[in-house]
Amino acid sequence: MGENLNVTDLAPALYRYFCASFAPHLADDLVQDTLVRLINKISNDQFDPTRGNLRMYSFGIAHFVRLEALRSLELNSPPEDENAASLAPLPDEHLEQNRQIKNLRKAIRSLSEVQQQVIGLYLDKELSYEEIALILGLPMGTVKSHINRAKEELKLALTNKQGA
Amino acid sequence: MSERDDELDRILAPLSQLRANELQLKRWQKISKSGFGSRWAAQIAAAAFIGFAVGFLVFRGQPPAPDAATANNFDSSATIESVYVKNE
Repeated sequence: MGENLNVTDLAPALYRYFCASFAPHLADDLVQDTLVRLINKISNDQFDPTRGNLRMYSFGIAHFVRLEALRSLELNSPPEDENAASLAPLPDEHLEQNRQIKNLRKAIRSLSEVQQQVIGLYLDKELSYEEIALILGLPMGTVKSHINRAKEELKLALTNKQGA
Repeated sequence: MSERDDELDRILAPLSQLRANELQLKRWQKISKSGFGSRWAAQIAAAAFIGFAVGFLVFRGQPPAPDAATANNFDSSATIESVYVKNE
């Protein structure tokens, strides 16, 4: 099973997922936490391939890690420390991208909690709507409507940000 | 994937284009390797311990190999029969 865990592909996807909610240094820690839990569960034969693929299973764990982090850090409207030292300092050419990500993260945080969950999983292009619905325990139609509503709210939030 | 929303993908592009750096990748790969590695090491150690324990319980009290003599009985009506006798 260990051979099937493609960390090079999976971990960056988890990193993007957590970056939708948290600052990069925290997202990095949460990826590690998710990987450790994932490996423990696989080692204890708790992963059942008949109930979904490994990617879906990993994001299911990441979903709970995210919720726990929000609870433990009381980050429902987190005071983001963007100036905190990231593990990898960004070169100048990435500063613009960093600013865009920061704005986008703020816009995502303005969404409802369930919309944030859906958008976080939607970021991974390998996950289908059906898989997102299974991870979150929601009907697929609800996931689609959350995605549509979140899109409109994100457009509005980012437009207001640019106008400000 | 056909069910992707192009407009939403454009909005989320800064995040979806985010790449982890080499340092992060190495660290995550290390977690994966050490996690599975420790599991196999623990299983091998446990198997070795159980093997020695079972061997000790089964073979304790028996004479070591050089103290045992082998007597062969070649009977024309039988296959080769080996009888282990205790060396007095």
